[in-house]
Amino acid sequence: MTQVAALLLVHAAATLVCAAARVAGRARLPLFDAPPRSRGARLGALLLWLLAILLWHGVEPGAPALMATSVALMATSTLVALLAPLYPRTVWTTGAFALPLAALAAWLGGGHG
Amino acid sequence: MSWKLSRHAFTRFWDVHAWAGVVTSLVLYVMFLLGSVVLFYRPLTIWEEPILQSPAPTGHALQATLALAEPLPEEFYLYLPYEGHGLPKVGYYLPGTSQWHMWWLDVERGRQVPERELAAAYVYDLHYLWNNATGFWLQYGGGVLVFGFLLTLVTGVLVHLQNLVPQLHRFRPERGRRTLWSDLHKVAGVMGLPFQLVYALTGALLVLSPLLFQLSIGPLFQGDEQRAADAAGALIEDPPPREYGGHARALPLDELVARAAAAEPRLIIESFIYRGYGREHGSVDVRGQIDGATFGDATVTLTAATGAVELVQTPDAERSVATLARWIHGLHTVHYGGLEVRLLLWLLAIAGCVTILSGNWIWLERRRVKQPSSVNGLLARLTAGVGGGSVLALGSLFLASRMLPLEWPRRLAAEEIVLASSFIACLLYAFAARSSAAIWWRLLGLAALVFLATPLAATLRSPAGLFGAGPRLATVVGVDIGLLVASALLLTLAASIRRVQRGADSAPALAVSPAVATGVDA
Repeated sequence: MTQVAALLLVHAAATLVCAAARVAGRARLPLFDAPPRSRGARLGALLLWLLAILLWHGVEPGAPALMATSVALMATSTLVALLAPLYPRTVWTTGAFALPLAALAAWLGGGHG
Repeated sequence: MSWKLSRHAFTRFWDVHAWAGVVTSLVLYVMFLLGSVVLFYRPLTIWEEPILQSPAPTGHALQATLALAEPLPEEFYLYLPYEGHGLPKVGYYLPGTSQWHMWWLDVERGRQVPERELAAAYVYDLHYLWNNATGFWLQYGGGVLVFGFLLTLVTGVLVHLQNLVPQLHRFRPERGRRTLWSDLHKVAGVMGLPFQLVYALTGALLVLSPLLFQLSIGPLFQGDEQRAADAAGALIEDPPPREYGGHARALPLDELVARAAAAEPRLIIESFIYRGYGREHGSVDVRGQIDGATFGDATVTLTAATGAVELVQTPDAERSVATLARWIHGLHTVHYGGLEVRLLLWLLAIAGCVTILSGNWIWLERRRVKQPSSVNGLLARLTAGVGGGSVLALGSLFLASRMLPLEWPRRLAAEEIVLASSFIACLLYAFAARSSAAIWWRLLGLAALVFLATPLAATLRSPAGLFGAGPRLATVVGVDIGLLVASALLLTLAASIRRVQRGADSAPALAVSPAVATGVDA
């Protein structure tokens, strides 16, 4: 479950970065239009990714943890960027739910489940 | 600091990117597609061979297992059961030939069972363009093509450098087909760039290392092959032949294992390589993993006749070249992260396929109006034929592997024939089809049906799958589910392409035409 938690964090990070991108069309999310907010979103995404590496590090050594979360970041970013213009609500909703689900998975992975 | 290239440099890089891309695209697409399947090589081997679905025999001496395989040649491999399932396996080149054969060693029944299922192995070998019929030249050709792919990546980055970040999220499916392909190419290409770079580099080195080794012997080692092999270490699979001396009986394998374990107690033994078996200076490599180490490949080399330890190579006691080999191998074959990472890498591999094919579609779209030519028509049909045909051929191979009786002696050849003939049939269909717009959805739709039928046909060979009578095995059920998911994805894709094509036929003014879905002109 720890890996699942890390993957959910990475998904939330990828969604945040995509939401903060200045794009036109259906994928645009006005919530992050203001520059301070978009900067905050990117910073938040970076922190989430670092947290994901830290979580994965509990299962595997540093280099594999970095590689696994980087692979996750590339894959989820591709999916989010391609799906956001087609199914924006679904993408933003799964991104928003990823954080509480990650917390739950991390809690279960910590031996509390 | 400005990233803007001069007009001359931009045009040159653009031309190199386009030409290198289009020349290498279809072979690379096949390599990427097969690579996405090879990510699940181990589960596929368990799914296809019922021997691997039974618990491994216990309580038998390794030497008794080895004795089953006698008479053995001077060089052979012995593999132990993996994760408590299956039988030990021995493999070697038939003496005087370049034909590799393997046998399961059933120590409880006292018999050898010839390897009878190679579907996953065919996919694995074709991923780097290896086949017994073509030998090394096609593999090396594939390695050179990968360098063409690297050139495409580098020039692609250079021409898009000034807009790289904005293009990360710019996907506009509502625009015309050229914009759609261009956005898809850039998003999938840029997001997966580190993945593609790492895989291209490590793949090229893995594939070309035997050739680079041979080329380096003269200029770097003054023709001394043994010295070159010592320097290359784990970068090469097969060291040069050497003189192993007179006849001498090897110590029992169990004794050699005990000595290897004493030399490196952390070693989890997976396999053995005997060289000069039955000779005075013959050696045995005891190979395995160091538990908990990153890419923890390790080898203890012993003199088989005396049990003397010749060399211990572990991640914390090895030369830099061995570290390099371990990382190249570990990165490319995903010795980290588990199933989750393999699933994500599968997504990235498929995104890589999309990047490659969309490059061809951009090429075709740019020339559709400006330079219509028969060569571009040929490329369009080849792209559709190879693109859809590879998927269908893959599905046909898996279906054939479940339909053909396991005891039929010619099944290995039959599997290869099914794979090759279905791919060739798809290519012929792509050239013969009246409307090339329909090639994609027909091939993908047919592939979806074949993938759907495979888990059902799997019940003929094993009860351990999703539809089997049980007892079920998680790995086999997982592969069946994977095949069904692949079928659903292919069916959705085929239906979407067909819908778009039909819509365009009835309303030609639509922004999305058949070529949007197919990449070819109707």
